[in-house]
Amino acid sequence: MEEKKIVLVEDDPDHADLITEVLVEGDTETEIILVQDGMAAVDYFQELGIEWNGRIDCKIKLVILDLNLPKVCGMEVLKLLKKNSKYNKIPVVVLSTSSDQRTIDEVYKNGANGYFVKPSSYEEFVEKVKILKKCS
Amino acid sequence: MFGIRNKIYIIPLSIVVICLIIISAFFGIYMMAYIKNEKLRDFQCTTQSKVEEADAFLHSIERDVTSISHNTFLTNLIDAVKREDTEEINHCKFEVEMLFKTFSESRRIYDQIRYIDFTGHEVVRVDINGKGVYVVPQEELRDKSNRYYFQETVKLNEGNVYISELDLNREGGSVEIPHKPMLRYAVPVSGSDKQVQGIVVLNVQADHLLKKILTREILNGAGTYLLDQDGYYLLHPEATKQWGGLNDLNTGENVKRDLPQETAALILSGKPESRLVDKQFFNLIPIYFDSSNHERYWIMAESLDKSIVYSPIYAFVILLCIVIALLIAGAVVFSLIFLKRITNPLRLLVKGTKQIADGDLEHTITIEKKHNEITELTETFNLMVKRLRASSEENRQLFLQLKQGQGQWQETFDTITDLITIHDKDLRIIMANRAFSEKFNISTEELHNKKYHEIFHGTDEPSPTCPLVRIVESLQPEFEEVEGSDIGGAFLVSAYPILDEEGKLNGVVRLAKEITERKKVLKEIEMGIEYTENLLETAHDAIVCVDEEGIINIWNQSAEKVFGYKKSEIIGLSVKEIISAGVLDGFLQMSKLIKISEILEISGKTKAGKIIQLEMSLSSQKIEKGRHAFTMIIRDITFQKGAEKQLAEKANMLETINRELEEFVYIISHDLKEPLFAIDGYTSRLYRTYKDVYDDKGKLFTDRIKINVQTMSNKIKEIMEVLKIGRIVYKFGDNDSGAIVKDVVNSLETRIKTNRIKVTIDHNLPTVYCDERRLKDLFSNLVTNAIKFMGTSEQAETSHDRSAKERDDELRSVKIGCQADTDAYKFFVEDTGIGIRKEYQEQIFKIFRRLRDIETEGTGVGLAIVKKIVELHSGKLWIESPVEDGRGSRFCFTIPKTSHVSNN
Repeated sequence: MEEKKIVLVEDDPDHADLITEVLVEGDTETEIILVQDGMAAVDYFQELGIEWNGRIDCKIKLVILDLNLPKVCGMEVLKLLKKNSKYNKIPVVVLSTSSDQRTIDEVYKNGANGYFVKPSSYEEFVEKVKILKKCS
Repeated sequence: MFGIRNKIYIIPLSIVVICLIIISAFFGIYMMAYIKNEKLRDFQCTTQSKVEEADAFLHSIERDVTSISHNTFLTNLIDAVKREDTEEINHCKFEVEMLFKTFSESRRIYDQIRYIDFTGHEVVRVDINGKGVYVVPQEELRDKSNRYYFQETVKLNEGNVYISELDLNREGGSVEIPHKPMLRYAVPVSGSDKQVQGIVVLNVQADHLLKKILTREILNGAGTYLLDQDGYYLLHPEATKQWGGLNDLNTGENVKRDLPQETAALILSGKPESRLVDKQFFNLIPIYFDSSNHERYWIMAESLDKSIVYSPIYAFVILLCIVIALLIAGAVVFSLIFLKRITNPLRLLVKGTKQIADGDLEHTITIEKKHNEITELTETFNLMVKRLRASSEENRQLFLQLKQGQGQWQETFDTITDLITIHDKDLRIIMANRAFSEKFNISTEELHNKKYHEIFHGTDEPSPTCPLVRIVESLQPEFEEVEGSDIGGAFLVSAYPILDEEGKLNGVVRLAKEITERKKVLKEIEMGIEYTENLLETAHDAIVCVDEEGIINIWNQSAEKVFGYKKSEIIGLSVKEIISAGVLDGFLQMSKLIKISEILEISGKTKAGKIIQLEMSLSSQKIEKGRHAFTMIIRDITFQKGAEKQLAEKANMLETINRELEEFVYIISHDLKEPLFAIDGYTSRLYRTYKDVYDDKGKLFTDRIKINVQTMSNKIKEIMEVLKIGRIVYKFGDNDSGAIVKDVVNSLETRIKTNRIKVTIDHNLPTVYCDERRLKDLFSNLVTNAIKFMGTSEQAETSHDRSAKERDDELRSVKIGCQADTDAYKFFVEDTGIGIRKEYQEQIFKIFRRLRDIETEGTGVGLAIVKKIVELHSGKLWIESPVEDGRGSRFCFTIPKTSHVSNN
């Protein structure tokens, strides 16, 4: 069975829990790696980078990135991910509470593969994630 | 006319002629003498040469005879004779004969050559006759002892020669015919013993002498004479006169007979002479034919006809005269020609001049081109005429101009409206212009009769103040201002003196200028000035006027108040005392070019030194000499400035606060959203996890929680919306409001249908200058509100009363329209709802306010948003309610027509 890794960068533990719940629903193979702040995310990817030297293959299938992060904000992390040739191929979906058009534009400009708003309806959210999983 | 000619004729000509004559006279005389002398000399020479030749001839004969006498042969013969050596005698005789023959042949002049012995017998004889030279035979030899020549000769000594007379030869006692003039030369000869043994005789054919020598050259008119001492002609042009002597023909012809005694004596004197006798010139030269006896001579006379001598002279004289005549004629002709050459042009010149003098200035004199003084004169003359013409033309022009000028003067004089009179030195009027004549209604003729003061003042006596009277004394221009209704207004009377060379009064020019108008104008100006001054002083703003250098010349009361300087203190000082230099200079320069400048805000300084803020408007005016004056109207805005500054600061602060507030609200609402997600999430999960355990209450509670979460989320969203209005960038343009409204209605279709509302949209919705999205939001909100206000149609649905339902339906309509005003478009969204009570119409737009009467969804923020959008478009928003029958509300707002909308 192929192991899939999804990196979730989210600081709010409740959100992280909820999201993880949705992501792993009915899916045993997927491993969710939780990173809780921007800096940790950067470190994680850098370490990953060192490990990866020469290896194209990588198990990380998706990065879900919250914008509102302490230390290093999500936008920076996004930029880092997408600028680095090693892992800019990994799809990054940005998650945020903001529905501000400007933010959305900027996120896409920086190379995000997707963006969606954390809805106030949990049900909606579940639906969205299901679609997302199907794509990845 | 003829003076020159005569002069040239007479004077030079006479001079020339006289000179010629004198010269030629002298010449002639000289030449005559010369010729004569020459001729005579020639003549003399001829004669002389003849004589010399004759001499030579004779001498030669002498020599001959001498030589013969000494000849050896002869000597031999003599000796032989003496010895009586017959053989030798014959021999010697033969030799002597030969000798004589040879001699004779060679000389050819000897008729006879004889040797005669001392007895007188011819021993040897050689004769010449027509046939030639021959020796006369013995038998024919004769005795000549009785001949004189023999007798004479034997007497002679050795060496002496006997020469006979020249006479005709006699043969046998009578003259031989043909005549043979003979000359005998004889010498005694001696033998060796030196004794005279005989004589040699030479008979000389004197013809040779006479014919050949003496008459060698016979000139025309010349005669050759040979006379013996007795006067007998040996040679005479008239042959008959020859040989008149006793021994000869004895004709008696003698010179003594032919000529006067003195003359003959002179001739025969033997002196060489040349003289004119009668009509002939005579050369007399003696021929001394006997060298041993100078007493014996012939006289050679040659005559030359006077005419011969004189004729060349005459000829010469004639020639000379001819030449002179020719010369004179030539001179005359030449001078004639020359004269003509001179006088002709001169005459032409004179003629031309006459013509010009008669007035024809166009005439030019032409002379054939020969560059000399005359032509020069002519040309110069022509030039002069040309100049005369030009000058005459000039004069004519001047005259015309003068006339014209005079005409113009007269015109001007009469056109001038001032009353002008010209007076003589007694102040009588001699001339007046038309204006004067008309004013006083008096003709020029009448003027001369009246005294000036009668006319001007209407008085009998002159007035002492009258300028005319004063001028007589002062001789300076005098003035007087007179006014009165009797003379019809105010006049300025000026009088100007006309002075002669000595400075005495020769006349006066009087001018009366009507100044009624002027006075009126002056008065008005005075009043105007007064008015302006009042204005200045009562003006609230400070008014300061400066010149180009910035020197203050006007300062009003308000200026005193603003700056603290009193008028007297500041007038004359530079404006820099109160206003900073730099800025003002620039504006002063610029203001010269543009009359009114904009309002400047500058700082100034009061007398106390306090810096104040001023608002100044600057204008410039051109005054005389191209200079400018500047007027500054100044307002002290220090206070305003301060207030403005405070306001700006406060506004700034407000701005900052606003911004911070916005950010704050943004952050908060953001932060508020986060937990909502968790709340809803866990609530859902809770439900899912324990949904089997939950009862209805549990489900209800879960639902309530979820609903509230949603509400909160919505509220936050709406707050964000409101904030966005204040933060986002607007894009203004011309948009079709009709299209926008249709869009909005379409997007609300479901709700409209559900609530069974009839929506009417006006056709005339215009294109307005607006932000499209905001207008959309606006309409969306208003329509949504309108729908809300009309409530749901649930009640009607449950009713079975169709008509009630229908009635209800009719009441549910929304109308959207527009009315064009002058400056703006008035849009309205009208509903048939319950309407809004007056008390609430104000508050409804406030944020978060909603009417308690109706439970509506939403926070009421919508209307606040609408208000903000309308304000953004510089429009007005208000409600009209009720609309009809106590129902309905109409939301109205305006959007201005101009494109000038304030930017936030």
